[in-house]
Amino acid sequence: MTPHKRPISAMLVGNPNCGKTALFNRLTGDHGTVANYSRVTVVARSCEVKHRGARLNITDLPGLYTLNGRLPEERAGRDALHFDHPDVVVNVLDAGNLHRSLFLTIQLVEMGRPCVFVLNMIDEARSHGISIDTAALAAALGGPVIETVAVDGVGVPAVADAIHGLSDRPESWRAPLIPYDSHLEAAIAHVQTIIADLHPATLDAGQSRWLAIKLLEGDSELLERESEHQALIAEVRAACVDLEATHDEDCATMIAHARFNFIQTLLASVRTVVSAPTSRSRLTHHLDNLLLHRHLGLPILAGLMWLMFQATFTLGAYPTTWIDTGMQALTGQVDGLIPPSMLHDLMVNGVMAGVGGTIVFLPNIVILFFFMSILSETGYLARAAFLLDRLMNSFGLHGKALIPLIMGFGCNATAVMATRTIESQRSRLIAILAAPYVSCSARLPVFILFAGAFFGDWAGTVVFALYATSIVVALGSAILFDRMVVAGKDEPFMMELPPYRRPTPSSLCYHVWDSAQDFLRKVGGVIIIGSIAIWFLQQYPAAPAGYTASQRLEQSYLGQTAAAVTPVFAPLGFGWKDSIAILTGLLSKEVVVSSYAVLNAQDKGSDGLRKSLSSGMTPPVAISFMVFVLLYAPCLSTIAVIRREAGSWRWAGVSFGVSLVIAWSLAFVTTLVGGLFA
Amino acid sequence: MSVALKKKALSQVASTASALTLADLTTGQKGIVVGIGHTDDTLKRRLTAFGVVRGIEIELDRTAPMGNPRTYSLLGYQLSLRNEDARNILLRVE
Repeated sequence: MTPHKRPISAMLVGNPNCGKTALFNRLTGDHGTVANYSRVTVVARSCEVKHRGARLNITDLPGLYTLNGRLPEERAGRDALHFDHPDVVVNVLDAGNLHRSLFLTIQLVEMGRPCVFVLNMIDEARSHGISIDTAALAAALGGPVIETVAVDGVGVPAVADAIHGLSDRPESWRAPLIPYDSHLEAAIAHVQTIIADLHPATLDAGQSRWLAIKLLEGDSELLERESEHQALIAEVRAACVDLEATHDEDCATMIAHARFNFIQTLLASVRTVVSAPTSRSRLTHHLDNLLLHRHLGLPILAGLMWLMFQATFTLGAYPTTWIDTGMQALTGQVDGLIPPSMLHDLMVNGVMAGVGGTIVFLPNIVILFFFMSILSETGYLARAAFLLDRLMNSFGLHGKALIPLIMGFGCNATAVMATRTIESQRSRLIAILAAPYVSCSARLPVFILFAGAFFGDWAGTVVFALYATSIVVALGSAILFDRMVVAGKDEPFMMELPPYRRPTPSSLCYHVWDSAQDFLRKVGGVIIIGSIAIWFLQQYPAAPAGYTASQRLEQSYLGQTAAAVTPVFAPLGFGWKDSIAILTGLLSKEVVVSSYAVLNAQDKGSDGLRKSLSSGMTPPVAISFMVFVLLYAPCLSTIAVIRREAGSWRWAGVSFGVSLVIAWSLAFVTTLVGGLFA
Repeated sequence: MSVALKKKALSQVASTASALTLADLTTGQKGIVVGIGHTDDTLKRRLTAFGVVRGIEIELDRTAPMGNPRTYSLLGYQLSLRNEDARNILLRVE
C-alpha cells in the first residue's frame, strides 16, 4: 500500500461558536456519508472526501475550551488527538476572539501534532477593526495560517490544500516552544530526564516535554495512567512543592500565566486593532439592552417560548394529519394485500399501528428543531440560559434546561432530544431524567376522557391541576436526581455569550434533516420491536371462537400479566381493566384510551365509554388513576431516546423505576386523601 | 499531606490579602485579575480555559433579572459567571 492510498486524517479542533461545524460542512460538502450528529453532542463526526487525488478523512471534534478539562467532550477531544494520531490538526480560531482562542492553540501545539490554523469569521473581525498579519502569525505558530469565512465557503479550498500540503511534508511543521519561567523550565527538564529513564527511546523531546508540562499542571488522568511510576509522581510532586513555596502560586497557575504572556507578546506583534465600536458590535449591545433587560428580558423570553410552542404544535398539526391519513391508506393497502393470517394481524395491528403512532410526531420534531437551531445559531439560547439560570439552579437544573422542559408539554421524546444544547453532561442528565414528568400532549386524551366522565363542569380545573402537578413533580424530581441519584459535582456555570449572528439556511437545513433522520432511524427500530411484543402479548394464547374483544384480552398473556399485577394496584383502587390500560400505555400514553375502547367495546360511542367508566370507579380513584397515568413510566419512544441521549440503558432503567415509585406513591396518597372526602 | 496543607495556607493568604473580588464590581467598573482565591481545581482549570488568568482586565456588563449570574467583558468577549464562582476571583481596581 503506497502512502497515497491511505487517507489523510485531519481533526477539526476549536472553541464552541468558532464556526467549526460550518467549516466541516463546507469541507465535506454534500459528498460522502457523515457519521453521527452535530456539535450539540459529545460524539465526533467524520467524513471522507477526495481532494486533488488524495483522500481526506475529516473529523469534527466537539467544541471545547481546553484539553485539560473533565467535561466529557474535553476528554473525548483529548483522547482522540492523543490516541488516534491524526496526520494534521486543524485548529479553528474565531478571528475576532483571538486572545481566548489561542489558549487552546497553545495546548494543541505543545501536543506536537502538525497543525493548520484557520482564522474563521475573518469578515466579522475586520468589521471590528481587527487586522491580523497572517505571515507573522504562521511564522510564530510554526504552521500555515488561513483566513476563512466558513459559512460562505470563503477560503475553504485553501484549508483543504493546507491539510494536504502539511501531510505531504510533515517536516515543514515547526512546533513553537512556549517559554516558561526559568524555575519552571528547570523543573520541566528534570521531569523530562525521569521520563526518559522510564520510557527509554519511546518519546521524542517534544513529546516528553509535553508530558512533563501536563504532569506539572497536575493533569489527574495522566497521573493515574502513570501511577505505576511512583518515582516519577513523587518527583513531580516534590518539584511542584518547591516551586509553589518560592513563587506563592501553584504550578498550574504559573504555567497558565506563562502561556498568557506568550499570547500577549504574540498578539502585540501580529494583531492591529482599530478600536472604534462598529455597527455589528453595537447591534449586539443594543439587542442585549432589550433582550437581557432586567424587567423585559424574562417576559420577552416567555413570549418567544410561547410562540415556539404554539408553532410546533399548531403548524405541526397539519402534516401530522397528512401522515396519519397516509399511514391509514397504507395500512388499508397492506390490509388488502396480505390474506387474513397471523402475519396479517402482526403487520396491521402490530407493526403498522406502532410505527403509525410514532411517525406522527415527526412534524413536531422537525418544526421544534428548526426553531431550536434558530435560537442556538443566533446566540439567543445562551442568553435564555443566562436569564433563567438563577431560577433553574434552585432546582438543581442548568439554565438551558428550561426550554427542553417546556418542550416536554408537547412531547417528552423531543424534550429529551432538546437537552443536547446543555454542554455539561451531568446537568444534561438531570434535565433528561426530569423531562418525562412534564405532561405531554399524549396524556391529554386520557385526562379529557376521565375528567369528562367524572367531573363534568369541573373537568377543566381538574386538567389544569394535573398540569400543575406535573410541573411540581418535574422540578421536585430534578432536586431528587441532583442530590441523590446522579453522581458527581456540577461543573461551574461558565458560558460565553457569543455576538448575535444571522443563521445560515444551510446550517438550519442540516440540523433539521439531522434530527429527523435520527428520530426515524433509531427510534424506529425500538418502536417496531416494542409494538410487535405488545401485539403478541395481546393476541396469544389464541382465544376460543365466540369470545368478545374484552374476554379475548382478559385471557391473553397481557390480560394474565394484568391479573398478576392487579394486587399491586389494588391499594390504589384500580381493577384489572385499569391494569391492562396501564400496561398497554407503556407503549404510548394515548394507548390507554384506545385500550379502554377495546375493553368496553360493547358500549358504543364515547358517551357509552364514559358511562361504563363512571360505573366502575369512584371519582377519587379516577383522580388517582389520572395522577398515575401522568407520572408512570415514560412512553417507549421516550425510553428509547433517553437510552440514546444518556448513553446507556442504565439511565433509561433509572427513569423507568423512579417514575413507577413516584407515580404509585402519589396515586396512593390521592386515593387516601380522596377517600376522606368521599 | 504537606502539599495539601501548603496549598491551604497559600490560598488563605491569597483570600485575606485582597478583599475585592469579581463579585464586588459595579456595572461598567473594570478590574485587573490578581489571582484566584481558595477554591477547588475544577474552577481554576475552567477559568484558565476561558482566559481568566492573572493580569487580564475584566469589566462587569450586566446582571441577570434575579441578580445572578452576571456577564463580564474580557479579552474582547462576553463571559457569564455565577456570583458564587466570581467571588473566588481576586481583583485590583485602579
